[in-house]
Amino acid sequence: MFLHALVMAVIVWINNCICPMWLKWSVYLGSPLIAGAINGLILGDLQYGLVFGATIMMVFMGISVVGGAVPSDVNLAGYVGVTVSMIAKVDPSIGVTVSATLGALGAIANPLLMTLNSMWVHRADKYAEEGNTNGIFYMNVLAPMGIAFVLYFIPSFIIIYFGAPILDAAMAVIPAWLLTGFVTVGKLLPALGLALLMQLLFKKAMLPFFMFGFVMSAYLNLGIVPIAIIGAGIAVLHYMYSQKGGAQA
Amino acid sequence: MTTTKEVNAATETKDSGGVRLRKEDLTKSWLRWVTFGQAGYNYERMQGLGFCHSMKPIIERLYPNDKQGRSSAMKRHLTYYNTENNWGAAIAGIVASMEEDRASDPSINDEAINGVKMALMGPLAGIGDTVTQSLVKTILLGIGCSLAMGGNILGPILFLVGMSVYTLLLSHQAYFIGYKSGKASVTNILRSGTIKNVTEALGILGILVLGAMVASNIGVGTPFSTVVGGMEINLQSILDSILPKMIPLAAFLVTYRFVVKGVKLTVIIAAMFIVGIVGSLIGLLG
Repeated sequence: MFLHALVMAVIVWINNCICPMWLKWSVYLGSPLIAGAINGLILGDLQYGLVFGATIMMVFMGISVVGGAVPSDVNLAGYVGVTVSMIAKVDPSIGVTVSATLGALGAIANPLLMTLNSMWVHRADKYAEEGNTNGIFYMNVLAPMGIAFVLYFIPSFIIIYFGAPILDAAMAVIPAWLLTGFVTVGKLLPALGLALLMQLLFKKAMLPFFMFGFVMSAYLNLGIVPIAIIGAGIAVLHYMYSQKGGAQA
Repeated sequence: MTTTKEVNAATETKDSGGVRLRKEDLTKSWLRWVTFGQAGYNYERMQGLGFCHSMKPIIERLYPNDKQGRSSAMKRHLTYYNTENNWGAAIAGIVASMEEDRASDPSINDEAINGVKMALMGPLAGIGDTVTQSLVKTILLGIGCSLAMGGNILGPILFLVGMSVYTLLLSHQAYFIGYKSGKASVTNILRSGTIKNVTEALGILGILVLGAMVASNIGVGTPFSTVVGGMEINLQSILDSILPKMIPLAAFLVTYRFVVKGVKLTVIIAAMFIVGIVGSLIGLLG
């Protein structure tokens, strides 16, 4: 338990400072999905972890990091929320509620980090004055690690280490009707993630393709992979025909 | 700044035997940008620190024993800067090539270099955010989640590998196109129809996957059933005979309407809690 909390808190910490940006696109933006798999491996129940991670991920899917201001911290919702819930062995639908709550509370951390990191810029200005190129590396990469440690590592560790037993105990006290209600909420919440995505992708002319996707899944019961392959085919056709038109114009 | 000028400057530098960047400097610079471009992200200068860091190998090569040159180059790149990390790598490439010219040609002033950064960071962020986050991420995450939902470990692995390969390949390509071809050609690529067509094609794939996810990933249904004249009537099977996954579709459309109207996300989440708990309490949703 101590080690488990330590591992997850270190991941959250690294994710918010020195994690290579090219890796952050998956391990940060896809936090719940990755966290589910890691927790599944640690807890020895990979199946549970995969389903758990994917369920939480659906809710957070549409929340992008454009501009920095986010209503919910996907990273904390993922690594902390999923870990706490999975240690307490709750249903993924309950885990959605736990993660969404922690994510919303944690949304304060990123603005704080970005505010405090501003101070390194002024130190960097001094190194620039001296022509000290290594100074830039210290200020850009090493200095933010300390702030991230305080803002991310410590709270994450505490919430996982003490929160999981609390959640476990709470599950025994919460009345059954409320638990059933939470499960229903958990089944409803992915609608929000997908609606946010729709807002990013929506164009009137593309509505038919939304319907194609829906029908292929709802009526034909095709999985996402075959549907994506069909979609890729349509996308290639669209590209080829529009390139042709573009050349004439 | 025109293409001809840039080309001339480049040729002159090469003819006059000024210090030239090596392939390894450029590779190091690209790798620093794509790895640490956002490590010290902050409100005051956003990616300013990261950009300056990416220029470190360039500056060290061009001004090995010139403290003054190093100092002014570093100050030049510590300014406010913010773009999308993958597509924006093109700017770092262009600036590397301008810095190379500048080291031996003082006519390329700070304004020219700053101008390129400021002019391109917005457009590249716009296109980059759309393609990377709305399209590529959505498609890969949709597939990854669905595989994971079925208990397949390939789900998270595919997402992790797919996203990393995309970001490394694209930023490498962008950086070196920027270095070799300069601002004019990057602007041309942005203006050409190709980018628009690629974005549209990815958009089609994205929205198709989204439609499928609405049907397969919103789990809510109804357990309601009643006995009428000795016959049990199950609401879910009646709805299924009209349109399968009707409730998920309805939940999605209602939520989407609220999102478009600009209702706060916390309010929507709170409403979902009330609807879900009350709905399940009266036996209508589950």
